[in-house]
Amino acid sequence: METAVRDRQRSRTGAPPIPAAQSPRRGSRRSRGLASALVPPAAVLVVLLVVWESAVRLLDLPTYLLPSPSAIAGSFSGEWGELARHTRATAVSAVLGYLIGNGFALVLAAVMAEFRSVENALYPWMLALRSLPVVALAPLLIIWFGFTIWPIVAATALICFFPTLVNGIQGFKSTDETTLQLMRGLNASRGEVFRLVKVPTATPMIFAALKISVASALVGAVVGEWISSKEGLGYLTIVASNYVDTLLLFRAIVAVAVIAIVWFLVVQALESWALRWQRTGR
Amino acid sequence: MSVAPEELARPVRVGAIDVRGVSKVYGNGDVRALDPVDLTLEAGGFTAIVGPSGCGKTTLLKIIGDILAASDGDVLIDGEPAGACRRDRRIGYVFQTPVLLPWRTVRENVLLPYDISRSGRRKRATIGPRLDEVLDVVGLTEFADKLPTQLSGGMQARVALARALIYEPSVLLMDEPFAALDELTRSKMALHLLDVWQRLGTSVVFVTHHIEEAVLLADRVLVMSPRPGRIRRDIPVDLPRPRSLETRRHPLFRSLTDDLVADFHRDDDPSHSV
Repeated sequence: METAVRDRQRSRTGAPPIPAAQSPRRGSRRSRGLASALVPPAAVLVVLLVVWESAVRLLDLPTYLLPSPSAIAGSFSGEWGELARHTRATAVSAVLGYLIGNGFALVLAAVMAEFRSVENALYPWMLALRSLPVVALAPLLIIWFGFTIWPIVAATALICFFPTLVNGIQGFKSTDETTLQLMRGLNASRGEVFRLVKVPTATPMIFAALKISVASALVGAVVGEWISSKEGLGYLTIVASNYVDTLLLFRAIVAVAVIAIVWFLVVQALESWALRWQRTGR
Repeated sequence: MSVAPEELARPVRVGAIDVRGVSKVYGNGDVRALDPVDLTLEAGGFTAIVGPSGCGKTTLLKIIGDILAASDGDVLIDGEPAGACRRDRRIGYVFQTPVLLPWRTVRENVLLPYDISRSGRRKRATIGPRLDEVLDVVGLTEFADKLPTQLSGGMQARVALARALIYEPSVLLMDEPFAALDELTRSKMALHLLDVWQRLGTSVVFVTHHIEEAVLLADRVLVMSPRPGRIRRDIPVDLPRPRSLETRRHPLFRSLTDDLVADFHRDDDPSHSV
């Protein structure tokens, strides 16, 4: 893939693609690959910020409507402690909900994939519940859990739950028939088939769901905080909106984005460790 | 690759197979995959089963290996039910595809049978020397730490063979194990298999639709008819052993293969079909 990216760039500049075998050393090839993966998106970011900054200045837009990137960056000074407190609150709710929701989803997926009768009984309900907007449940969750972080955690967990459940069931069932026959021939128990074959087979699909849930978990936490919290980045955005403090609003948005990016990278690192066998090509 | 340690030699010929009235129907009895088959295969023999696609040869092989349940009849191996033999690791099965676990190295794939506790006849820790022997026999010693995706098709087929050989089964059931290989690798693998077989003294049942391969390898060729499958002919192959690619120039080899090829074409004739 790295080679493909590099070749595409070279062909854009008119130079013929270099065959991978001619690359001098693996290390330098990888670092060049990393650079070519990072430079284009970074360039887009820079261009975007420059356009934004100049537009605000040229059009003389008022700060409450759209502050310039430099104004946003400058406004962070003196606000770090406050921002960190709200960021921590949101991160805690989101991560807790993420772990609980995905944890339950994977356990239930394993049970449903292994036991046909359980799957038949539950799957239609799971599909029906998936279409239910979790936000609609928020008032109920508040009645149950009070004004604590738990209604927010519960909403986050529910949002994460269904996509992972569906992916998990599919993943655990995607082992091909011949592999199952091989395991039967070797007299493997049901538990061994699950552990030795079905779990590794499902891992790519499970990680796909875990990556999608990062974004869902943050939606759950932020929306949950809108409804029932005195803390967190969601709460902060509501306050900022009430006071038309657009700079505060942007700081909160930046903080959410930072959580999302760091979190996603952590999950991605776990994924590439769990699936390290996929990276060794021919 | 052609020299194997003495320890692999097994003096006693084992793996007599007795198939008694085995049949298979799918669905509500509307698809007859296999008509009742009766068959006795002597211990240590090399039997090839040939027949057109969909004639039930794989079904028969899977029933012998107790991977698939028969609709009727039973299979005895050295006088014991096939199910007991499978649980006791006396049956080695090699599938049409290598069915390797892509997240495991060659070594870990070959050791898979020892991760299964109910039949792990030896503890995994004590299997080291045996593993080295088997990897040597199939010529994969240097590739023990590679992943399946890093191997050629021929090498993957040899990993699958090693995984079946590691627990020293008395019966080796092979379902077109070389089907995906090119002609050259295929004949190399076939001769290699003969080498292994002669040293082990196990029975081999080898399903193929490649007539020359069947005659080159086997003591006995069984010809199956199209669905519903049944054994139509039973041909002894009295070619001298050890066999090599030279065997193909033997007059008997020519006449047997010609006969079988003609037989196959007769099957294609619509006026002959049942």
